[in-house]
Formats: sequence, structure tokens, C-alpha cells
Amino acid sequence: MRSSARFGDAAEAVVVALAAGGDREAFCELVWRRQSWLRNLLRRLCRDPALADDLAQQVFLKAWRSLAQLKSPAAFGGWLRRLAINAWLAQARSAGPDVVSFDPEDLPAATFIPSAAEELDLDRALARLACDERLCIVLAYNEGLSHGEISAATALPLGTVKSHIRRGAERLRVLLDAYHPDEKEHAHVG
Amino acid sequence: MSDEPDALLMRRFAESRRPLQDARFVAAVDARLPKYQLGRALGAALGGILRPLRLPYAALLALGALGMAVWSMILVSSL
Repeated sequence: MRSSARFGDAAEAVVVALAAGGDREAFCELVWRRQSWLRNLLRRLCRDPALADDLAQQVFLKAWRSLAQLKSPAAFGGWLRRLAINAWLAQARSAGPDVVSFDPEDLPAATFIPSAAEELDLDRALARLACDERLCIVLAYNEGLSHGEISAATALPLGTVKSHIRRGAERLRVLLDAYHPDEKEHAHVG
Repeated sequence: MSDEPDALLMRRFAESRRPLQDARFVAAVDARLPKYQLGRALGAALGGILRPLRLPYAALLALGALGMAVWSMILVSSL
């Protein structure tokens, strides 16, 4: 199933309004348009791409069921993101306490040469952050949200969001330097 | 420390984003959508019928009416 010719370049708000009225084809068009963004977001949050895709499907199903409650079609993206965050948080809570150890000694040796793509390293580094820290970092760096927007989206106090981002970014830099020790030097030169 | 995002991390996130446009994913979601949605159809029909009857401040009006009814009952019972 590909993007439907019926919708062409129709504005998302129009497609959302049609889907909210029960138009299934319009909803599938929204899934087509938003899947890449949503799956990327959930893959950053989850440690498992298959789980991320399953959660993404669940989020779209929930969106279909409750789309009529969305007051403004223009707010669809933010609303979908909030559904995704809630779905991920529920999954993370049901999976038990977040057991994340951050010990730089555990990191690969400086001679470690990653054979996988760079994104794998980023995902591996992200997976080592605590749940809330990872959520704030992903929303800030992957989604480009401001601290205030993250606070609103996650219901975490603004001060907590700021400290999660500051500490999380610091840890992430250390982890990424361990995967790519020469990157730091390039960054300083640049 | 400043709230400015770290430029290196910004770059790493941007570089590692990849398109995940997959027709099979859309088909999988479509297959999981319920075939018939009685609740949605009823909700839409009821919403259409009731929408013209909606009043602004309906809750306030209802409270006012309730207050007047109670007051009338008190008046009647005191006679």
C-alpha cells in the first residue's frame, strides 16, 4: 500500500479531518506519511526495532480509535507524538524497573572499531541512558523540542527536564567518544 | 551551563535518521483496523443530531436550572 493518488499533495490537516470522519483510506494515507517519523522516534526510545515497530502500530490503532477527539487537525503531529510517548512509557513501566548502568569502564576499548553503521552506535549509546533521560534527550535532539515543550509532552517538571538533558547529553558524549574516540578531536578542530 | 543543544549530538542525530517508508507497515496497520466501527458510526450520528442543540455555557445553565428547581421546592414546602 503506497500513498494514495486520491490525496496527492493534500494538506495533512485535510487528510486528518477526513480520517476523523471515518475515512479509512485517509487514515492509511496518514500512516504512510507519518510512519517514518514515528518509527524513527520509537526506535530511538526502544532498544529493539521490532518492539518499536509493534508499538508504532499500536499507536496508529489508538490514533484511529480516538481521532474524533482531536480538536484541531493541525495538531495531529504533536498529538501522535504524545500517544507514542505514552505507549512507550506504559511499555517501559510494564517491563519492570529501568536497570541501566552507566560505567565508563564497561565501554569498549579505544581500539574498538565499529563494524555497524553509525546509527547503531547512537542507539547503543542511547540504550544505556535511564528511561526519563533517554526520553528527554530524544525529544530534544531527535524531535527538536524546546525544554518547555518537552516538559509539557512528558509531564516532567521543567527543572527535571533541563537536568535530564544536561546530564544525558554529557553521558551520551562520553559514550559516543568511546565508540568513536577520534570524533572528539575532529569536533575540537572544527 | 547553557541550555543550547550540543552541536555534535545534533549532527549525530540528524545523520543517523533514515527513511522508514514501508508499504508493508501500512498494510499491517490497515489489517489491524477494525472492519466495522459501530461506536464511531453511532457517535458521528448522535454528534450530528445534537450539534445544533448545543448551547454555550450549557453546564452553567443546567446548574442554574437545578438551583431554581431546588429553590422552588423549598418555597413550595414552606407554604
